[in-house]
Parts: sequence; C-alpha cells; structure tokens
Amino acid sequence: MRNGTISGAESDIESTARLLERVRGGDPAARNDLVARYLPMLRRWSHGRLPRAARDMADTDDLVQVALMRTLNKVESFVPRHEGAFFAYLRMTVLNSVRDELRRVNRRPGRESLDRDMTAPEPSMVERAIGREMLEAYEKALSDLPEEHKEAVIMRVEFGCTYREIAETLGKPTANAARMTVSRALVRLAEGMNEHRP
Amino acid sequence: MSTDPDPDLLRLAEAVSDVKSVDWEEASGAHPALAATLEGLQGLEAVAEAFRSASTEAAKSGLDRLPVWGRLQVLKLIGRGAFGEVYRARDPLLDREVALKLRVPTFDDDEASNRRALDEGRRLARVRHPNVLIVHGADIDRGRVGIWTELVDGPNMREIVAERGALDPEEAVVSAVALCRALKAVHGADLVHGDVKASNVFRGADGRIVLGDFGAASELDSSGFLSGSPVSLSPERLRGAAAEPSCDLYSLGVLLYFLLSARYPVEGEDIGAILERHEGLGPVPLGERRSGLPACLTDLVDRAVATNPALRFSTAAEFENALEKLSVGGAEMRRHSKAAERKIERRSLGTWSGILAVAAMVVVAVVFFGRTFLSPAATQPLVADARLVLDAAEGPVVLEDGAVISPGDRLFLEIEARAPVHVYVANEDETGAIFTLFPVPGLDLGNPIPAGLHRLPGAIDGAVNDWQVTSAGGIETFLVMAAPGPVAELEQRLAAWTSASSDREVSYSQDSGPTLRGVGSLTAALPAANEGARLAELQQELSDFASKDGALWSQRFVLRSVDEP
Repeated sequence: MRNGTISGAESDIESTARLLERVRGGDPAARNDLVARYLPMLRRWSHGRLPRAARDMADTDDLVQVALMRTLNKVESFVPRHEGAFFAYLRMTVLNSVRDELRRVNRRPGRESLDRDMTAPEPSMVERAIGREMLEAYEKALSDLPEEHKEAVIMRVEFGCTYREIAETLGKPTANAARMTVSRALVRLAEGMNEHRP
Repeated sequence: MSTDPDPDLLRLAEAVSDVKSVDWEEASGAHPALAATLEGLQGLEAVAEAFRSASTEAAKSGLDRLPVWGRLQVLKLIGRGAFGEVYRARDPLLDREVALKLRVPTFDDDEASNRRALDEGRRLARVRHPNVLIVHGADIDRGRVGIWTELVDGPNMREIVAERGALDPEEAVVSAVALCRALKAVHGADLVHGDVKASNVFRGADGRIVLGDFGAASELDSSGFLSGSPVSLSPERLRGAAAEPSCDLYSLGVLLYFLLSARYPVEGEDIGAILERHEGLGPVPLGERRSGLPACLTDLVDRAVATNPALRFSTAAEFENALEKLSVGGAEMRRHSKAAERKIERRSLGTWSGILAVAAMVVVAVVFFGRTFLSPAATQPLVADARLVLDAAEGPVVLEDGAVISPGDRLFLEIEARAPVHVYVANEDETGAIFTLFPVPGLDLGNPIPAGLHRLPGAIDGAVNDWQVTSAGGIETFLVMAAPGPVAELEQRLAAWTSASSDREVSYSQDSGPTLRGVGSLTAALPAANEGARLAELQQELSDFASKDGALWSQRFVLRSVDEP
C-alpha cells in the first residue's frame, strides 16, 4: 500500500478538520460525531481528575457533556493547526467549564450544605491513589516538557490512547514512531519528576 | 538532561507505557547511575496505573456512554444505512432498551422536510400488528429526526437460510402467512413497505416473525429511485413505477421463493439484466430450482412472482387465503403449519439459542424508517447539491462559473445525493479532449455512491484526494452526471475517453499528498472561445436519453485556467 500509514493519518486529521468545518457550518450530525468521538474519553478522564464531591454528583457526566457542547458552540473561534491542538483545547476548556459549572452550582441558594463539600480540598481519585506529592511532581514536570511530548504523555498515560491514535493526533508516520515519542517523553518526564520532588 | 536517552531507559519507559511489569530493583542494580530517573519512571508507572483504574471504574459505572438523544440514552451504534444510523438505546422512563434510528441530516434539511419525516414516523407508529416491528415514537431533538422502535433479538431470514439452506415448505409457508398479515396491516394504514426481503424479516427469540427494515439498504427514496440488489423488486418498479401495495406482494413472493430454494426467480447482475430476463424467458419456475415440492405450492409461488402484475395476487388478504388453502386438503396444510409453528418455537429455544449465544447475542435493530415506506411523492432531483470547490490553503472556495483556476490548484466536488446514485464526472479542456475524473479505478469510492454528502474524487487507501490542475490552458469544462442506476451508454464513452487520454493517464503527485490526474495539463494555443462543446453536446444527448428512460441529473461547470499572475 502506498504510503499506507501516512495516508491513514492524513485522512483522519482531515476528517476531524472536516468535522470541525461542518460544525462551523451548523451541521448537527458533525457535532454529534465529534461528541461521540470525544465524550466517552473525556468522561472517563474527568472521573479520575475531578474532586470526589464532583465525581459523586449524579450528573457529573452530564456536566462534561454540557461543557463539551459549549466548547463546540464556540468552535468558530478556534482554528486548529493540527488535531492535537484541538484535542488539547477541548481538554482544557472542558475541564475549565466543568470547574466553572461546579462553582456555579455551589453558589445556588439552598446548596450551603453541598457547598462545604464542594469547596473542601477533597482529593481526586488519582490523587488519592498516588498521593498529592507525586501528582504535583508529575504535573510540574509535565508542564516543563515540550508541547509534543506533553501531548504524547497525556494521551498515553491519562487517556490510555493507542499508539495509532497518538500517531494520528501528533502527525507521526507510524504507530511505532508514536511509541518512540512516548518513551522518550517518559524518560524526560522521569528525569524532571525527580527534580520536582521535595 | 540527555537528548539521546540511554537505550535501557527507553526500554523501561516503553515497558511502563505498555503496562508491562518491571523489576525495578534489578534495573537500579544494573544502572546505579540512573537511580534517580528510574525512581521517576517507577513513579510514572504508579501515575499511569492510577489513571487506568479511575478510567476503568468510570467505564464500569457507565460514565463513558454515548450522548443522549431526546430522553433516550444512546448506547451503541449497531447499524448504518443510507438514510440513517441505528443505535441501541435505553429509555430510562420505561426502563427498556430500544432501537433508535437517527436520520442523517442533509443540506436541504428544513422544517418542512423534518416535519415530513416526523409525520412518516407517526404514521408508522399507528401500525399495530404482532408481525410488524413496533414503532414506539418519533421526535426531533437538536435538529435530528429520530424514530425509536422495539429491539428484536434474533436472526433475519437471510441469515437463517444461509445457515440452514432452504426451509421446509411448512415453515416457509408459516412465515409467508405471517408476512401477509403484516402487509395487510401496513397497507391498511395506507403505507407501502417498499423493501420486503429476507434481510428485513426477523425471527425473534420467541419465534415471532417480524417485518422490519434494518435501514442499512433503504433502496427507495421519496422520488422512487432505487439501487442496491433489485432481485426483490417487481419489474414495473424496476422500470420506475410508483411503489404500490402490489409491489410488496411481488417482493413477498420473491421472499417465499427464496425461503424455499435459496435462489431468486429472476437473477441478474443489474437492473438491465433482470428486466431482460423478465421480458424474455420470465422467472425461473420454482419447481426447476427445487424438485419435490407440491405442485400447488410451486404454482402459488410462481403466480406471486409472475412478470405480468395482472396474474399475481392483488391483495395481501388474497395471498394469505391462497397460502392457507394450500395442499390437497386445506386442513391438512394448516395442520402442518401448526406443527411447523411448534417446530419453529422449539428451534428458537434450542438450536437458535445456541447460535445466538455464539454470536454474543447480536441484537438486531429493526426500524421502519421514513422514506422506504412512503409512496413516491413529488419528484425531487437525485442530487440536492453539487459544487466544485477549490481546496485552498486558507480554506475551501466554492467555484462559480467563470472562476479562475491556476496550475497547482486542487479541486474537489462536493455532492449531496438524495439516494444512492451512479455519478460520472468528466472534464473537457480547451482542445476538446475529454477525460474521465470519476469513477476512476483505485479510489475508495465507486458507483453507486451512497446517499448523503460526499467529496469526490474521494480517498485512495484512506487518504483524501483532489483533482489537481497541472497547467494553464483556457477554458476547462466539468460535467457532473448522476443517475439512479448505471448508464451503460455513458460508461462506454467514459471508458473510451480514458483510453484515448493514455498520454495523460491517471497520475499521482506526491509533493503535497496524492492527487489525481491533472486537469488541463495541455497548454492549448487556441483562442478562449471553445466552451466545452463536446460535453455540452453530450449533456444534451443524455438529457434526451434521460427523458425517455428515467431520471438523469447533470450539471456543468465552466472555469478558466490561467497561469498565476
């Protein structure tokens, strides 16, 4: 097959770009496709990243969905340079708007009792598992990495993406090339974590 | 920090990333100088594990489910068809699983067309019969029309015949009687199914025969165009007649024939071949396909699939009566039918439950959906929209007639088909040379293209392709033609053009991704007056042809190709 993997990557990047283009054109099907693509992984991820109180709210998953929908509503203002940029943008805005939403809910009258729970610095599931120090060291070291390495680590470690997906997002020619990027990024991250640990 | 990490470190990082267990003690023993980094990697192993278990828990608690549509929780995509997608969904209010078919939105969606689709759904919901798929409701949510129905657990008749071969006569007749009753109900509601065939008839785990429409191959749209496998359609339907109840009865005859012989009364590669057979020798008598069947049964089936509509059953009730009276003593046949019914039930609990378990209880979603059911309404063009688009770096630019293109420009055609169509695209340059742009061998997309929005030429091995302008040369004319079936006359010409242009054979340029053959690669010295005369002529010829032999849609684009200033 001629340029098999490259072609595949191109076509997938194209498809997300094309979906975005159609979303901008007001095509509800394209919106649904984007939601179907990103919502499940964002939900799973939020589950580990959000404070316990938020996680235990019956409609946490709906918060993520609402946030994703809102992000897609604002998509006109975002022109991604590559698919990875869109994914990062999505992740950031969804996380922020879930946090905003939680704050807003907390301010509602009659929610005083919940309020305390919400604002209490309750650890997320991930934090509980590895401890605050480790999580902070990880996040600090992560923020020091070059953009591509950061994306590679987040996709692999936090989202459990396949190498194929990572290759497509980062524009790597093959899954193996993506695996190489992840490994190199992890070594640099490990070195950095050591520096950030007390 | 090293820019070229130690190979052993890389291997360990890879193990962490691949969730393979690592003996950290041994590793730090072997590389005492790297102890700090190894500690970091071990920490990352824990971080990754924490994310994994959070994610697993989220998945377990159903947090990764798909979005909602209306009040339904959309669980899983289980089928995709020309006019919609079928999902397994959950109705939390009634605490049951349903099949949800969401209509694929089209460019010309407006309130009126949504309203029509909804009305169709509501009419379907009024058909209440044990042998007809139950439609729970129809609604519109965030611009998407959807219909939700019962989920039927069980194989379709095509799968049953593929698994077991032709059925016993009694079993086949029992199924046909059930389907006659189903069609009585459908026709009684002033609806036409339009797509009765083995893969649209299901046998539930309880042995119930259910007429549905998986929607994966809706052969008809509101304008009555058809494509796909035409063996089940009546000859008059193939010639373009409106869908009527009698067409459903013919299709049911074909289905019964198929259940009894695993063959079709008229087989052929395409509509033309099938019609030829109808007009010539006619359907193959059932007795020739399978010997040993009672003559009364083969006579009945042969009558149901006769080429001449006047010879066939005129109503579902008449068909049903004939089936019930079958055999020498009608009572005996009925007795057999009862026995067969019991047999089916036993099988459904025995053999079939085993098969279903192996197939991981494949849930078959069956949906009657919109257009299939409607008798053809006002004629709509095959193609809702076609636009020639310049794939410019700063974004797509729609090319109007007279637009200027330059060498290196990449073009594609955005085409929105209302039904599956055969599309042909040709390009004529200044010199009058014509080239086939679509269909071209090697493309992922070929004729017929499914209904919906497409980008032509489409992909090659998954990579999106454009046509590329390779030189300047005055007027470039593009002719886009679409027909419900293959147009033999046109295909012959396209083949001739392609071979005539072997000096400009299909080529791929690798510089900016693969592209199709150049458009206007000849630099002609002619004055810019020759506006694609040959294609214009062809369009005229074909429209004459179309008017006497069914619908053909065409559109011409005339562009100017010049060197960039």
